[in-house]
Amino acid sequence: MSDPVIEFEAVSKSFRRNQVLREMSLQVERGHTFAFLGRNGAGKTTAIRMLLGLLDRDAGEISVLGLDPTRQPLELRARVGYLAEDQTMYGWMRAAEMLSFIAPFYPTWDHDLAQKYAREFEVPLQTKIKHLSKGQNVRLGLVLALAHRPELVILDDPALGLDPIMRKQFNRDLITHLQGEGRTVFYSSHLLYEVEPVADEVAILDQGSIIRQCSTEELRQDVKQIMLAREAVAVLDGKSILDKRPNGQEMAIVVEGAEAAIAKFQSEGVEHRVIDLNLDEIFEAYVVGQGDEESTAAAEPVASPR
Amino acid sequence: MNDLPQPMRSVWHSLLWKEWHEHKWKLAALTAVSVGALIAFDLVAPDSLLSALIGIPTAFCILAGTFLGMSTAGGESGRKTLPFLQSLPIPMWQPGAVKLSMAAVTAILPLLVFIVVFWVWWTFLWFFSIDISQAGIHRFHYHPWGIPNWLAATAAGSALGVSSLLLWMAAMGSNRSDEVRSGAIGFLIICMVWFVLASGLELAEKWHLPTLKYGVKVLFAAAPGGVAFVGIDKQLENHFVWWPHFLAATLGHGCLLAWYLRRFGKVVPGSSRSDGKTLALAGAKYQHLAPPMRSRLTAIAWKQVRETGPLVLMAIGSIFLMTTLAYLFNDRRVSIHEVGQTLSGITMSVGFFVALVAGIGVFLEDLKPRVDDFWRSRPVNYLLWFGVKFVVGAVILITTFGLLMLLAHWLIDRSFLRNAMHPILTAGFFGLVFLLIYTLSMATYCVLRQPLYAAVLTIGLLMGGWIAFLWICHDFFGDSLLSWQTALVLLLLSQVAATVLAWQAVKRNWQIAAI
Repeated sequence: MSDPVIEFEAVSKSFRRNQVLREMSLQVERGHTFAFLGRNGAGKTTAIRMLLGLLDRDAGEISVLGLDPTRQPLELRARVGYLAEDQTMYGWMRAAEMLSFIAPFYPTWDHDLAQKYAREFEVPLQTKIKHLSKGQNVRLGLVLALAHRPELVILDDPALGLDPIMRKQFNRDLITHLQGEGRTVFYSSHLLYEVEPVADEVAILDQGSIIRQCSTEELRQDVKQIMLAREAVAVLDGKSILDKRPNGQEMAIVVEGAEAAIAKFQSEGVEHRVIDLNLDEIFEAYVVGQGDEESTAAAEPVASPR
Repeated sequence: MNDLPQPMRSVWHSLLWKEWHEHKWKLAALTAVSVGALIAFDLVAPDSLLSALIGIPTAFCILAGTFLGMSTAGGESGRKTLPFLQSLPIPMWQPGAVKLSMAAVTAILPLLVFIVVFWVWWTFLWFFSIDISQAGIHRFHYHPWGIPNWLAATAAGSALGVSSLLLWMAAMGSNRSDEVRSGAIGFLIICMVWFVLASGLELAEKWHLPTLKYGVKVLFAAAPGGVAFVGIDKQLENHFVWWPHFLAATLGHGCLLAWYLRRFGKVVPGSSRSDGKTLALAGAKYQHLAPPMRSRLTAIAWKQVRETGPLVLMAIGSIFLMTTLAYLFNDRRVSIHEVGQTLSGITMSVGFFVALVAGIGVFLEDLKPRVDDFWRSRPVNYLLWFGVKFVVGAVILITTFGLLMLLAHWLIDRSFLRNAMHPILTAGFFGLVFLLIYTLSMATYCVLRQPLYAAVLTIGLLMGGWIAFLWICHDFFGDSLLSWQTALVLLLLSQVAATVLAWQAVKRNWQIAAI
């Protein structure tokens, strides 16, 4: 049974003449870890600001935890944990002071949990925020985002400032921990290889619209690279081809609806090889793929078979 | 010890604690400046100490109202902490209200301390025979608001005036990206409000419309800082018809307060533009790219012109508005000669303010944490970066105000070009003073990285330096050193010292964060 925590229905937003979101629709189910993918400037942060009621929409409907962010922003923010990309906090406060300061803003704040997280994340509590390293700053931001036991955790490219070990720890331990608690995590990122192991569901935002939303596994099954003779490409309906590049004597195509495409090649007797793609490559095919246009680009390395 | 302290009791407790922490040193600094000014006044002009009771609170109201207003309006945005505040589950009017209230306390308390110190000074230090509570009446022949105690009336008038100015600055400057932009917009709007009121008064005079004239005078109470002037309107003293003014002040400031609280933090500064631009860049395949700038020097100079230019243009607009205002407010017909004198006076006063703000503005953006890393990580020669920014900012400032001063002198004496030495020397001397203010505020900002503290410290240093100079000349050298040549040498030495300090602070990335 569907129990969406976040619903965007044909949401549009423009800043002056620049349309940032174009009738964007998406749904996030309760308990899921949702990866919100897009290039820089695709509209991810704008969508997140709208989720929190920090920006008004021009058109469409938004519902978060059953609330309208524009009309009930405070009730909503009390139930959401948010960590902004490059979050700037008051530099003069000590980390401990910041946690005590923030506590009364959240009715469900759990100070013992804050203490526990601060210890686990190794936040130096007596250090002034301006003297924290980038990683420590992100970890303090996480404690602030989690200590009130939010139903929904919104993370806007949170691992950006962390070193590889911290990033891995963040993704595996923290997200897994949140998943274990049944929290819904809305994770915006462009570091796809980090999102891939933890995300249940993925949405790809490009130029203000969601161009694909499905489960991570379904996406991997549905989008594949196929190597075949150049003239054999015509067998396929052009609409299902996301990317097409010459590769020596062959053509490398990335198709959506891989099962149907493979069946078609088999029925037509076309020789072909199927290559699995990772999320990075799938994302690339969606947002910068050359589709059915005649490719004039020089041959580029393609994904290696696994 | 890595345990958390207890959480604060309530949202109000948290907000008050935060604002108190952010204002306590401002309060101390402003108190020191107001009391320091009194001591300075007594050292320089002990015979006219009574004038200090008007002059110091007036100057204090303008400076404290403006700078605290700027800080209230643009401080959170300038420090990039506004998005964090916005993400909290509280209505934004709450932090807005606490911030404004604490700023008002920070503005009013030093005034009250000043009044008390003045009374002690007057009564117990100098043993003047005149009762200070009546002294103003002897000298100026009026009771502000009809309050019999002149000291209390001055305290009330100053407190109301500074609160009004603070509220106007905060409301008009809110949601800008930093303090300097907030201050520039707020200052321009305040000038325009007074311009409109003065024009109304002029029209009423011209067309003999006593009701309109009365109406405009009533509206003064709602204008920025105008409530302080209402009390010294002698007609009020005679008739005590003060309730329309009271109503105008209450309604006007009430609406402004509601507007400020409604708007505070509602917009993420620059978000709309930056988001739009990013998308435009990502989406557009073909964009015209301007040719690269010819050299590093040109590039840095261009940047500085873009940063200082708007402020100076606003200042020119304000100066012409204020000169027109002064012309319109004058009861009698004034001559071109007098207009020139007014223009000269206003240029000097606004010049002081603009030099102070422009100096702070030179490195305001560059020394913000992430921006600082950005430009320092480029292959840029620090000396070139510092030197070009400093010189271009100074040239814009000095050229603009020099031309305005020359225009003022031309209006005063159309034949001055035939005998131009004196006005040019005078303009040059004041140009050096402006340059020192500009350099000193730049240096204090580079060291403190806090606009308001930099402004207060600059004023303190200028005042202290001037007093020390007069005191040393007077007490140790019997006025034999008191000449323009000595003043010039000291100006140049101070200029060199301030420039070296600013350069070292930029080069070595020194900073003494006040909070």
